[in-house]
Amino acid sequence: MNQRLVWFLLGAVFASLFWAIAMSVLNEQLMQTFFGFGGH
Amino acid sequence: MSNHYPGWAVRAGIWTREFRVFGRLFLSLLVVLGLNLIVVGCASTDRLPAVPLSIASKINIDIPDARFYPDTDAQRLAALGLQAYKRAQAAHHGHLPTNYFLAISGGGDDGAFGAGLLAGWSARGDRPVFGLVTGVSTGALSAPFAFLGSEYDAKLKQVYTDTRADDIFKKRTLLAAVANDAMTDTTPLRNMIASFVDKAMIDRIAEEYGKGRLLLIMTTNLDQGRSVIWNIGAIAASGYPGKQDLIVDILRASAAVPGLFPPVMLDVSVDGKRYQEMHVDGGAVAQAFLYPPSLNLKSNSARFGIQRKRVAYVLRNGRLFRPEENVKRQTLSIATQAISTMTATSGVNDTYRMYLTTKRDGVGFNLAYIDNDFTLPYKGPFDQGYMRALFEYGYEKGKAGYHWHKTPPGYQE
Repeated sequence: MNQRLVWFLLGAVFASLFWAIAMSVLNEQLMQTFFGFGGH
Repeated sequence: MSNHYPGWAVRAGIWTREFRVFGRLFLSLLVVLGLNLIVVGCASTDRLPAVPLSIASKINIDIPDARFYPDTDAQRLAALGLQAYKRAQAAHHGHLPTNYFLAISGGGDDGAFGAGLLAGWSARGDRPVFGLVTGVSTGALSAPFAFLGSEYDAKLKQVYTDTRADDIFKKRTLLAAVANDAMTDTTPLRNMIASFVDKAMIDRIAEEYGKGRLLLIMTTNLDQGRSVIWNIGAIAASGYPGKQDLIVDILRASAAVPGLFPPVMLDVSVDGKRYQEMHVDGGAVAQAFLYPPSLNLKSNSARFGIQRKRVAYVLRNGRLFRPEENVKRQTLSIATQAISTMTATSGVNDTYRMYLTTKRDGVGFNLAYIDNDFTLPYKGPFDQGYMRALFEYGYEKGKAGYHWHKTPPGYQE
């Protein structure tokens, strides 16, 4: 397989992982923020 | 090969293998980000236009007296009260006992407190039959049980002690914050509400409505930024074919914590044109209510020659003040604690509004809340252990005879 393609796919995997972790952390914090409407 | 790359980078000698690898990874990152943006763009949730405030009064939802706007419908509410009074007179053959009001506040999983107190009060044996029951948010979920009395205490206990987070919501995808209308999907909550608001419950609510008792639930019309009071008894007693779904949607809307739980979109039409109303948690406007201050019970009673003793009980499903916290110096942590503080303070402010309104109208005032003797730390949303302990705390207080507070916190006569 083309070496450039391999690098690109590898990069896509890492980039997806990065976004997934970042969004997951952000989502969890947003959830906690909205739970604040409960008064806790 | 060098002619494929930027000349400045080659001349500077920085076009290394590592740099090329980094470049490709960066390109991948941009592609993934682009794909994310495309997904977000395609996933936005559509809606019909909101009803302009100027024509909001023209909306007809097919059920007489189904709902009221507290800021503009004081006269209609007075007429509803008079109608209820006449029904109660007919049911009691003229002699009317004291009319007891009950307001159940919002507070999420802290609703276990009010549920426990009501169950304990039943066990004590002197819990009154409430002529008026109101509910906001979690209070809206317990209000139908409270309205129907001790026969529904077991179900009320079940809701607040056997429920876990999974029974309320499912987390949505990672893009929910930007691509959807809430962080979670509350289909489980809707199913749970639909399981207890069955035909038997609706028939019982309609029956009690016929005796002059009122069950009122508050939601917030977010498009108009004002609260709506729903008359569940009128809906239950109507011949409207979709009344069960409507009641379930109203209860779900009243508990739809903005941002966390999806809003409830109600289809309406004005002059043949279709619109949608977005309804969220009633707590966005008030944590609890008895009746709007614009409705003067005292003057209306004098006007219609009504002489009846009235006593109000307010269940605040929460503490008076948010527990102290070493707040992290971080944007969302600060926002979290600010929202939490505003909600707790709004709850206290609401007790002042209710107190002053009842005092004006000669209605007895009683307030209960979670006091500092409940020391179990909060363990996160809908933790079963926390809710069971809080239910027991409320139950013991109710069974022993709650020492009702006669004024709002900090108020000096």
